Amino acid sequence: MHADAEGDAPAVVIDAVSTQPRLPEAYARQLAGLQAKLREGTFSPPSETPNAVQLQQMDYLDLYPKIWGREFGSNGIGRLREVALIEITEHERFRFYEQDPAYFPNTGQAMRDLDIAKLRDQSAGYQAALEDAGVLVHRIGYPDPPVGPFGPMRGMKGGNELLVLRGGSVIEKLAVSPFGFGRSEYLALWAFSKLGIPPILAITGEGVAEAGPCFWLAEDVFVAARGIAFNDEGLSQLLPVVQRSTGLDEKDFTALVIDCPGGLYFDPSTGMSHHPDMLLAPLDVDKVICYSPGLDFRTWSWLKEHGYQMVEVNRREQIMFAPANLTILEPGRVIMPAGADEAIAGVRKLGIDVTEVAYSESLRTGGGLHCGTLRLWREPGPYSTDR
Amino acid sequence: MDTEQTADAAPSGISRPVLPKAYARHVEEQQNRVRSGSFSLEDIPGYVPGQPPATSTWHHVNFLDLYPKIWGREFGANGIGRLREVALTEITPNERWPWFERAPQFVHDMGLSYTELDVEKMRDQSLEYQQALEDAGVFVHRIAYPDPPVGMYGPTRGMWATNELLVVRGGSIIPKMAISPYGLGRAEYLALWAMTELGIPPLLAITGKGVAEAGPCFWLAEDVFVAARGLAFNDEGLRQLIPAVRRTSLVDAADFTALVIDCPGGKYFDRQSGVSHHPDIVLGPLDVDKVIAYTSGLDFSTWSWLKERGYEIVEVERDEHVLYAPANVTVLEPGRVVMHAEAKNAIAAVRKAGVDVVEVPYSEFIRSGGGLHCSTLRLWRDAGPCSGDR
Repeated sequence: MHADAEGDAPAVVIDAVSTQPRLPEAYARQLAGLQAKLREGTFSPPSETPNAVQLQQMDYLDLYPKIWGREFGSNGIGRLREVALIEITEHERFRFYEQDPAYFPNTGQAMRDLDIAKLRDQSAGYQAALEDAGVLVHRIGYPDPPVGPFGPMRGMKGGNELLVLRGGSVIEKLAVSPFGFGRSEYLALWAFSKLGIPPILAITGEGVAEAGPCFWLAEDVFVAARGIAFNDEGLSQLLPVVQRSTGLDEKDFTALVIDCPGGLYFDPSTGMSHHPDMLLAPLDVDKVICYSPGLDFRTWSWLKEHGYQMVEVNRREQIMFAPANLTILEPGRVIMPAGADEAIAGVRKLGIDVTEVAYSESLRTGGGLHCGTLRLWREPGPYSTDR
Repeated sequence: MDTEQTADAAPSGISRPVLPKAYARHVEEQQNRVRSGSFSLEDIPGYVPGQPPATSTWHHVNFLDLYPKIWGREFGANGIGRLREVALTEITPNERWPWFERAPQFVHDMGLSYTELDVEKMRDQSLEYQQALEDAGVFVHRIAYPDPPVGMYGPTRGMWATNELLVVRGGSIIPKMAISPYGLGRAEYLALWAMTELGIPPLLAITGKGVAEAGPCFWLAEDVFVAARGLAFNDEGLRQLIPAVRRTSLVDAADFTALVIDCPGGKYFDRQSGVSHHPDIVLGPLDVDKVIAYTSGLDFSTWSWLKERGYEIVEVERDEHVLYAPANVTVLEPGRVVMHAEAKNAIAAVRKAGVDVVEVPYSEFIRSGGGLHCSTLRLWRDAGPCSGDR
């Protein structure tokens, strides 16, 4: 179908552009290093004929850091090294919300009460907590005012619109957030042009996959969903690319796909959601936090059968704080939203180190810590069997 | 992994990408629309007051309808419709690979000898080709590599081969190379250029152990894509490439044909038999019902497919194929092509089939292992005919 909207059919203009792209720092450094080797005369080509069979066996995971000059990707739950957060501006208050509040997703905290200054302070507090944990934090700014293909853009604070895997990023295709279209592409341009992280997949056709809210329980276990935010076509594009980014054979890789209930992105009365990171999160290699009414029985059973200890979130805290929407710094160490006292106590009881940060204002616009974080790079972490 | 493990320090303050011109212009237009107060929720597809956005609308929005509204322009060179925009590489002395004498096995020469490569002449031929394209109304960009050009194994070679990157509707496809270790990194550089300068994002990178040198693929029509299986494409690479390409076409899966040539032998190009593992060396489109082919390089099922569908096949002779690879054409629009001027017999045969031919001398490129199609990053075509449009 054609998604026509007034004023959005661009004129046909071909621009004269530069002959050379601006090089991201790491890539430029890599090229300069290789050039220096050539100039020093230390390079010598091998004398044997290239072996086509051998060349066909090379894995992309071995190639990409040698091309782009650095590693990236936040597979697994290993130590978090680098993220990006979004500059918080007045535009987080979506000026068209009042025209039709029912059109926009709501959580348990009212969007009307959103305090932008507090949102900014809370984001700065989160940044400080990340930096205290040794995480490098970038801040990304959107054009002012931020716009997308259908007019104004909302929810810029959702830094996790882009999923960064080992080897590159995945540009998602949104489902029911028309004012969110274009965010993922903007972030992909930022990541490519500034850090040399190329897109390796864009969800196309009629596929839908809001890939950013996916996450990992281990190097070999990736969590997605099926429902409003992911259709089968989207999953069929996303999951094979994710699997290849693990370097694992298909049989050793688990894609845990939560079949989401209901028809609302987030139901403020029941706490159900169609984003997997609102329902489940890793705490350690054998521990998770979850809002179990939001998990389909198959997912719940898989966790039980694989011996995961589960911290259960109660309905009240789920609606108010979405405590499973956390940031894992490394196995056994997480950042959680302050206020979710029972969930935090439950997590601590399992021996997990919790850093609390105030994050109430972000929840008013539909997301938490995980949603606000573009995870760029993690160290390799444990496999699900490393216990 | 011997790459230094560093993350570049986050600059203090806010980081913004430089926007490609078309994208920046589109953002500005939308900003003006928002500022002027002309935006309304009623503009949103499927909007029903008092109800959240419906999956019945949004799960059926095709990416092909979205991407120009995000990036501010159309792009993609699917099909054989009128060619609008390409990029060629700046030709420099680096085209003569300094290590050829010590390691000639890394250079894929064809019938004309690489040792006689004349870079000045190559530059002139490239300029003449650019002129021919511009005369045909095609916008031509030039891309420059760092000097000296380098890739992950050291010196890059074959920078002239700008078709390393396949641009389809909605974005580019970054190939994973097989038989050219000194070509690794070229496609990534081109992809960075295309995204940051023109707003053409990668849609797919071939990953894992997939191999697909996607650039030498081409189209016979909106619904017929030609690839290969062999040194330059393995099954895993094709499994990744073809569904992504199909989604960029204007047709349903059932109406889409991926014509995969099963390539013979074990050499990129065999100077004796003329067989090759790049599909654009052995077959090229001329019109919706006409192709040029070196039929000894086509597997029987491909040849049969062309015959059964009534394609008129202009056959290339062995001697001319080995020397000049005349099937490596640039189709400007259905019935109009640019060909290697040296391939006199093939040109005559193509003209006899009623196709308009622009001749461009291209001997120095053929010495380096490719021709017109290989050297052209095809960025944008108008929508063209489907194979049934005859």
